[in-house]
Amino acid sequence: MPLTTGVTRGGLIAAALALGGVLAAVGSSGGAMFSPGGLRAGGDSAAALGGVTSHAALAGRCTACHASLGAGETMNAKCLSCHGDIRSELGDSTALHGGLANARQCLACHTEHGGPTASLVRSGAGAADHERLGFSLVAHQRTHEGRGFLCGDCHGGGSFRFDPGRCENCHRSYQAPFMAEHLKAWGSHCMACHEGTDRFSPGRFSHDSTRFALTGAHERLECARCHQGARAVADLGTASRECVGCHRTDDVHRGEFGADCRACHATVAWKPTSFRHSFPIAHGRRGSVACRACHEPGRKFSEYTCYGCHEHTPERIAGKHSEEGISGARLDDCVRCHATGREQEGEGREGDGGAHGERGDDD
Amino acid sequence: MTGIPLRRSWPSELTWTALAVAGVTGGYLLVARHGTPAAGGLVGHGLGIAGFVLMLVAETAYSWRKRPARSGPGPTRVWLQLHVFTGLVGPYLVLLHSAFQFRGLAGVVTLVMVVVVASGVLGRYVYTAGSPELESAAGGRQPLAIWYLLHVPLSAALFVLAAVHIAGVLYYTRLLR
Repeated sequence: MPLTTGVTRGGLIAAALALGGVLAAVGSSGGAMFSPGGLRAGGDSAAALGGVTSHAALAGRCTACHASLGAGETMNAKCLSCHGDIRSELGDSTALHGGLANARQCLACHTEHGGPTASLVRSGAGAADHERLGFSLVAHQRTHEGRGFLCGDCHGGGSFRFDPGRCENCHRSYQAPFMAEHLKAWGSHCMACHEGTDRFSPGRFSHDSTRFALTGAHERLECARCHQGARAVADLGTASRECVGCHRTDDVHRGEFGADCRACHATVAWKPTSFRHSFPIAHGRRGSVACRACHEPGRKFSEYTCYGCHEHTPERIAGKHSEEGISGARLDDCVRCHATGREQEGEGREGDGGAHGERGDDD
Repeated sequence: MTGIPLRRSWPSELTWTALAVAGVTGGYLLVARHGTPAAGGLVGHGLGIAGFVLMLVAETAYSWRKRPARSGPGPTRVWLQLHVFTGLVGPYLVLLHSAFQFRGLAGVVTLVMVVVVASGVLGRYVYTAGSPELESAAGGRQPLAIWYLLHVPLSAALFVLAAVHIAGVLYYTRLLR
């Protein structure tokens, strides 16, 4: 029957029984019933600390770690009372715990009750300290396998000092070809360039998001070919976006045609080009003519000679043009009168004294 | 046993419950894609606290309103709908809070919670399917026995156990840090 308070007699009995059960459980097994999970069974060291080699050996002794209410001690102090090795690190700024701002706040990074094999380090622990020490964990939230990072993935040894070799080991395991080239180009001092916020792995970074999309032959280049001398992420943005920024030294035109490479070339390859010869090089109907038949290697492409072919010899040409009054340097500028290479098209130009005469005045 | 109209239409409170559960599940899966949120983490504690508050509403509001002597705001039917909604969504949040780890007192709390919810669903939608008001629904007292023998007493026990669980968590994780 319901009571006037809204609570049934059965409810009161059940509540009393529940409370009695809780008190009985506390009386028989202490606070074990409040344990959210098992303690870690394996220790990182075989040496006994606080009389045990693992937390699991503490069994149900909650107060071994949890300070008693009103006892005036903290749980952090309880941790350090057993972990003397960590306590000794606190005075050493080069050791892991000595470099942490909140080194005495054990629970800021550590946890327990995750089971016999669970890690005692929280995922992402110490992130703020990493920022302060110069390496952000922004790009290292999850491994390439998808699990959370553990301190030991990057830090080795008893003092947990950073081990650059571990970068290589991990990154080689899933991007070996890239790492081989990358290490060859940049060396193995990863933190000289990387501060942890970048991650240029395919799928996460696209060069298209920059002001210079990679197309054609550029897609296959190793980063250092363009980002020469870059030693930090900020340096990557200083690479030139102009062709001549990288190609000035291998410009076969020696700068003669200016810096607008795109006028004739595409990024797929230097050849073929979209350049069309203004002079009909097949005018002799002898098929294709090698470039060096007219353009001497090492000279500008605006310089040419017609004496590389058949009957054109300087003596013969000079004799033939002497009666027209054409000689000297003007005799070498054949295309001025023979724009298509035809002998006849020059006829009548001998009277073009203005052109030749004026040019002659220039000499 | 005559004159009890059978509910034929889908109860609206279950529609709202389904929507809430779907929304919570979507958010939970988003957070849990890299691993089940721990009961003691920010998400886990948030789920537990929200679930407990909803269960507290379920446990008190309808019980208070349905007393014959009281004539509180709104029809009792709406209060029952609120009871069903909070009594289903709350335990679902608590279930997610558990991170599917059932041990110690927390495991007992979860078990009792499941029995309370199951008895509530049975009583509301099977034994008294025709009436919105439980007290007057049964043609006899027998179908409601589940209430007085299981649902209501265990709800009281659940409240006590949950309170002890919360007190224990506060004691071990806050007072003793």
